[in-house]
Amino acid sequence: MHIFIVSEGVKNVKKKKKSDKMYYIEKAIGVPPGVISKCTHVEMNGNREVIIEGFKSILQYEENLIRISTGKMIVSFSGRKLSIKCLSINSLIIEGFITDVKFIT
Amino acid sequence: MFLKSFRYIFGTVDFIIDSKSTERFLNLIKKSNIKIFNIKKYEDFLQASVIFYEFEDIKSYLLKHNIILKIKNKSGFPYLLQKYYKRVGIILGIFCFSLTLYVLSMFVWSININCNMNLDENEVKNIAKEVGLYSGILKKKIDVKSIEKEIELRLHESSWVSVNIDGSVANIMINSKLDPPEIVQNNNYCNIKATMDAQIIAIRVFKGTAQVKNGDAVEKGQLLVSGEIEDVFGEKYFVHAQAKAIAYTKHEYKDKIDYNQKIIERTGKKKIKKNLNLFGLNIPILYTKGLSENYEKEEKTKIFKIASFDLPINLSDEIWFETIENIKCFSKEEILNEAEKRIDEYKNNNLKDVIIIKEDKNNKFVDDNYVIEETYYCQEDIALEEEF
Repeated sequence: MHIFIVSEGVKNVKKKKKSDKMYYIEKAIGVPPGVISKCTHVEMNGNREVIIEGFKSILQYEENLIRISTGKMIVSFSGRKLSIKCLSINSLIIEGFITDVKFIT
Repeated sequence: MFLKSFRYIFGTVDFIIDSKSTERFLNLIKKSNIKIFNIKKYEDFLQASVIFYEFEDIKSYLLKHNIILKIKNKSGFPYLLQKYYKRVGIILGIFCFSLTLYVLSMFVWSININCNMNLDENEVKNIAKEVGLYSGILKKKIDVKSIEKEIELRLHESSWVSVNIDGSVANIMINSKLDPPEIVQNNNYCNIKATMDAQIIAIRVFKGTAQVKNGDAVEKGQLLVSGEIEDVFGEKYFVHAQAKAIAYTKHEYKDKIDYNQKIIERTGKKKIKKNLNLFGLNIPILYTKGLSENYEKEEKTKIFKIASFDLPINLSDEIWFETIENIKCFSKEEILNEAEKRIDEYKNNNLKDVIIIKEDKNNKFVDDNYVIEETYYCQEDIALEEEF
């Protein structure tokens, strides 16, 4: 089972930031979010593996909890035997038994 | 699998850092554009791996930020090379081995023959050798198509031949030909004549006009059936005469066997010559001198194999037996056996399609000889077509 999450949707419509404008353009022309705007792409392969593209920093790295900052929000993965399989400038892969995913804005 | 192979080829370094600076380390790595993998956190330390050529970058980069890393393990091909770099012998050995393997793979060392008919493999191998396919030839020199054609032309029994070069093995596949039945030419005009002196028992004419009747005695070459036919209107025309003329015939066999005969016997002395054929090169192991015409040769070849695959190494033994010409006096029994053998041979050759009705034997010992005089009264077809 694959789950695709394109995060950083509308946070504050009043501020009308550049990314928000892009989101509305995407919505208007009917393309999926993330095609025009820059946002974090999270892909889950079951509950065993998560691929995150476009993250900012790693806030916490424990065996049971990994917290990632994507700029506008923090994504936290809880579970057992969590580890970072691969880390590069733009993406990382987390593997282990993921039991909980939280988006903190 | 691919990733593991890639990492082995490029080499990997496993290192550890203090667990206190885990997150800082990871964020610094992210910024540095260096890829790390297999990041595992333990209680006291964090372990990660990096590709060999990026290790020095990561080391110097982390030193700037006061993070000290310790190498835990180095693995992969570059480290293996580093380890054996000073051992010139091993490297030279590997190089020589690879070179030998490469050079040997340029030649054909074994010839396999697959055919669906009774053909002697050695005969096919000899033909292949004559047309330029033998053990030890350079693969570049082989012109497969011309070899296939040549073998096909020389082997009359084959309908098609294919030669496939598979590594250092040449596979020759031969398919047998199915000969069509011979077409009897009935267009030309001919008579039927007698092959030998005989007395006609029955004459069956399929085409033509019979010139003899049952019970007639005929001579060799006498006209039995004429190819000229006269129809009811008295008009004459020619045909291809066809008939069977069954007749009583007489065959005689005369021979003489001498008691004292010259025979070539082996003295018991022998000389062995051994050759080792290595990659097409004949190397004599045992060399013998003084081989004259009084020697008979017997050859045995032992081909070394791995499973069913012939190796390009074989050992051939040439045994040379010394012979002497003697005059041997045969016993009566031996003479009789020899006579029986000759009579059987005569019957097989000359009276194969003949029914023998009666045999008159007048075999006797005369002086130093055994004289064979046998007469066979037979029944056979004496018709022979002769064009006019």
